[in-house]
Amino acid sequence: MRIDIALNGLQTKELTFSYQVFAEEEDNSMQMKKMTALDHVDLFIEEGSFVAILGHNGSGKSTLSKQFNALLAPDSGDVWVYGNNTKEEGQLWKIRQSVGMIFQNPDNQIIGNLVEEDVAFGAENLGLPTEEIISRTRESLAAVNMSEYATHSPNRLSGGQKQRVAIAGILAMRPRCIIFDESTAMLDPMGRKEVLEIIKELNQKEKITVIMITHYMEEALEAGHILVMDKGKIVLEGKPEEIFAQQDYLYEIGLHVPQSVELADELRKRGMDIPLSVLNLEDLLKEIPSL
Amino acid sequence: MLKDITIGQYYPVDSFVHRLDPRTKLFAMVVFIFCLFLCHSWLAYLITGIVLGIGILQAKIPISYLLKGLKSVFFLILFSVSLNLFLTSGEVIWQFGILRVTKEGLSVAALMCIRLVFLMLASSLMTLTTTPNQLTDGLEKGLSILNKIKIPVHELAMMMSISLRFIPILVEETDKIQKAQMARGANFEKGNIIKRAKNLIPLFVPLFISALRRASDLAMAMEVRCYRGGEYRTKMKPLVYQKADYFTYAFLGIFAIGIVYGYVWWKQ
Repeated sequence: MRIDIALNGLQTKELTFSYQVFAEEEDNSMQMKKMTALDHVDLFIEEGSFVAILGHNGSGKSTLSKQFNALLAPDSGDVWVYGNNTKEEGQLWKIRQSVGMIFQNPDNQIIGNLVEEDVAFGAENLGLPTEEIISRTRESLAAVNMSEYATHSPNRLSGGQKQRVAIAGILAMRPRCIIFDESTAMLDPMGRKEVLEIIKELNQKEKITVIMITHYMEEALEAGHILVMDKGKIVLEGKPEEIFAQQDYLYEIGLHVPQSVELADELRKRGMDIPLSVLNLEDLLKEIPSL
Repeated sequence: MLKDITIGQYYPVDSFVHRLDPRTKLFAMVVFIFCLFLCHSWLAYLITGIVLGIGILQAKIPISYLLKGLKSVFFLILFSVSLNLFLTSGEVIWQFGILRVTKEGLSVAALMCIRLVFLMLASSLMTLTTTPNQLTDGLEKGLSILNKIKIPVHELAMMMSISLRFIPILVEETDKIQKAQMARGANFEKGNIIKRAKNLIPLFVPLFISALRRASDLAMAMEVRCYRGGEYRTKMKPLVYQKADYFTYAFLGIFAIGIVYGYVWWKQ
């Protein structure tokens, strides 16, 4: 067990969190009840990595992500963001600046009435000088290929474009890590592809740590590391090929595997020799001998 | 219906008035309207009209476009004109039953009509040449003195700009819910006014729930981006007065002094 606090990543120790919810009792009375969302989570996410968090609804994955930028504070245990404990009041703005977050609904996270105004919003909140805000806004819009829309109204953009604007808004704050909380769930396939390309690029070129919470197993294949959550606990952790090799267990906790993995598995059962490291469709096609 | 209201709709051209600082325009509008209510002679109205005309010409907004905005207040103008026309006592020039038109009534009604038209033109001139964002920025900075008496100016301006951002989204959402409820058999057109109002309940309940959910999401997105009120914030486009603004203030000052002087003279 790691006891020393890592400065180059996100770390949790014994992290526990529960929600208070109204629930109906057997005698029809409403009672406040505790719902455990996170149950003694220990993990470490290294700087510059690309991590996907999988889990069915209510497994605690969104709650976990909200712990990383101090939107929620742990009931017990600790969260360290680049060495700063999220419980310490004084570190709050530093933590929020270094860990950005993109949510599901593109409409509900755009604050500005113009694209460039929205991108500048975060930088403005940091109290930066005007020239710095302008240059960061320009750079961030260029990074998500949205420069030509700088003076457009966000209302006319497509879902994928809106999500890219939201990403630019986070980038303008120069974060070290960005959390994508099902950010592609409300997008059409084209928009999803656009956003995923940007995410990959940010991770590879800008060396930004990416934590991606998703329902799409195909997206999880892009990650270097996968965490699987169930009932507030991390139940599996490892490389995509290690995770998707455990098909039966994933089904048991309400998840499935990517179609390409399923296909490879079926082919293997029928005697074809396909290595376990083959996960995505392109690699699989190369393995299948042409007829 | 929402399309007909010219107030609040930006007319995007590049002009002297468009480039003015929003604070200047806000102040100019307030001063202009104040002066308008001090006008009691045809000469004063003529001067006011000329000043307004210069503003409109400088703004490069087609007169026909401006006049379209008057349509929405046509009945208000008609109402106040007819009240003034028929209820002012004085020298009778035309009578039909209890309706009677007096010479004084005629002139009061005409002046009232001009006053209302000028009022509308002045306020739409401002909103047509100022984007809602500039307007909120202008209000925030122009009224920042009110911070001293504990009025949260920044927060109010932020609320205003967020509501402007969400108006089109909520309009679209209303439309969607309306269609969804109609598909389930709701009828929004039938029945008397009370029944129709009742029919709107299945429209407003989902709309409110969704608006509250959006608000909660938005608050979280703002927190993630380090929003903590206006205290530490800087601006990407801070408002700075230019030469044109000082010139406008000077011009406005001369106009206001003239009108006030005229009013004092008229009182005596």
